Amino acid sequence: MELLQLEFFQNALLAGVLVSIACGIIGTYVVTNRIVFISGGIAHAAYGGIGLGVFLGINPIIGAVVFSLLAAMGMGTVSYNTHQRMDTLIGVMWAVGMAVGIIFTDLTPGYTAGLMSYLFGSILTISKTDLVLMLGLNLIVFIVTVLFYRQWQSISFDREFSEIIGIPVKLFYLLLLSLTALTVVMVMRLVGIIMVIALLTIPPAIAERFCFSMKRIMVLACFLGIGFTVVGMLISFYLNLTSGAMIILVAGVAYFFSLWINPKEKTS
Amino acid sequence: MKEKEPVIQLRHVSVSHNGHSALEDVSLTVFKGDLLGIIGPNGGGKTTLLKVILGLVTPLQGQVKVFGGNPARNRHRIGYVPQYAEFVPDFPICVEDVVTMGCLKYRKLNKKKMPVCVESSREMMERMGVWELRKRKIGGLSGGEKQRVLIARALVMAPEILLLDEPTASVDSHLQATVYDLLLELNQTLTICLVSHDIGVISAYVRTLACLNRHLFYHGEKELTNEILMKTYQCPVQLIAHGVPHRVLKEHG
Repeated sequence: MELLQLEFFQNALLAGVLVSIACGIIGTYVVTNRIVFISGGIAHAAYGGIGLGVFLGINPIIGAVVFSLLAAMGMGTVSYNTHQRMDTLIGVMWAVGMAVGIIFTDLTPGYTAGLMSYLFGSILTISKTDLVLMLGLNLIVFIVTVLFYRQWQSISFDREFSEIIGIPVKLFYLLLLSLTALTVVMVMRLVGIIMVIALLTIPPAIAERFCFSMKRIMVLACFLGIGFTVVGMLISFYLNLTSGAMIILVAGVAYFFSLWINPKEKTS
Repeated sequence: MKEKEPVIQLRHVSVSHNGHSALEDVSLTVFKGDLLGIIGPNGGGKTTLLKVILGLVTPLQGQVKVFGGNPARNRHRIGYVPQYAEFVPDFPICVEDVVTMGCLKYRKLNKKKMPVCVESSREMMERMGVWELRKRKIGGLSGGEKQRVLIARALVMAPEILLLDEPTASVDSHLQATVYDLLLELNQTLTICLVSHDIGVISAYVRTLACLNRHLFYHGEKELTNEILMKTYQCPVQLIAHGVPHRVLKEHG
């Protein structure tokens, strides 16, 4: 329990909780709208922004936010209008984002090994400022979700019908991708770019097997996410292993375990 | 008797997808109170035609009028019943939430009507016989039940026209007649337009028929000849309707 006295661990724990809530809510939309791959593309495109941020000497997170939002808008617009070759485009954005980040890092004089923390996450470096940013983002995600839950549910289930009844479908879709982009940047601090998709998708994917309303999936996914991050952090601390990877490993084991359990037919 | 009022008018409409023509020079008028069945082979442009009427697809050429105006502006007066097969099969949503989706249109148009609409959702679910299923996940229902849920959703919009895409495609054959009986009942107050590749059953129930395979081959009273069917399907089609009181195919003299 002396662990809880350490400030960095308190921050990390708090960050884990905040990130899990955003992931539980946005991840549910990501999983049900089948935009997991787009989310991965957004995450990796964000690395370009981190490289640029380092190169320009500004906070890399700002660069990541800008790049991920641009990637979200670009992929969102293209995928909304045509479904052809979307996977190719996402794949290209995915790799080009990383390449841009690496080249900018090369061009930056001095020691840049800190960039590794964005790839694999680093709970040790989470500051009070990060926590405030995460809290703010959580509030935005929460408010937008509560306000427009029915609209998003409608769009996720049947986009055409939603358009017919007058919901601005494209606007909501781009808003969803923007929130996904911001969530991705936030998760990146905790588990790193490479493992972002796992924390975004595993909790709702497990929850989806046991609940059948998006609301319930969101709530259960939040709790599952919190469980995975806390357990993962504790194990990584005691065994002295990389925390981001341990969180994902815990989540992954839970996922495969859940596939093994047969949920009974539920009526309510 | 007063003049029939046209509610949907298509004039020389052509649509193409990526260079492939889906509809060519289609002219069609649907009058108020009609029960029109549009038949044609798969890939013959039936769904595209519905999307043109809903203003979801803009024609390359030609003119579309719904209630005498722009289809996109008037589509909230149309109840659309899509094919369930096009949805994500296991989407986490219960019957009740699907049906009340129809009420979301009032968020924008008229806030006062919202609670009235939620009330009518119950009525429509009862009328369609899905009230007991309201807490069930829609993916777990049978094809016929899903179809009735989607019709209930369209009805809570209080539409003046009902558009149905393959209403019996996922319904067990012995239950298909019940879906059509339901449509006949709804036709007393609604204009209904449905598309299907299933010639047999549809032609026994609808009042007017149209045959579509890129071109519109026939439109009028439901007396089909083999010649028209040959043109539409480009192969001989036998008109055998199960459990249908009369045959629709013209007898050869």
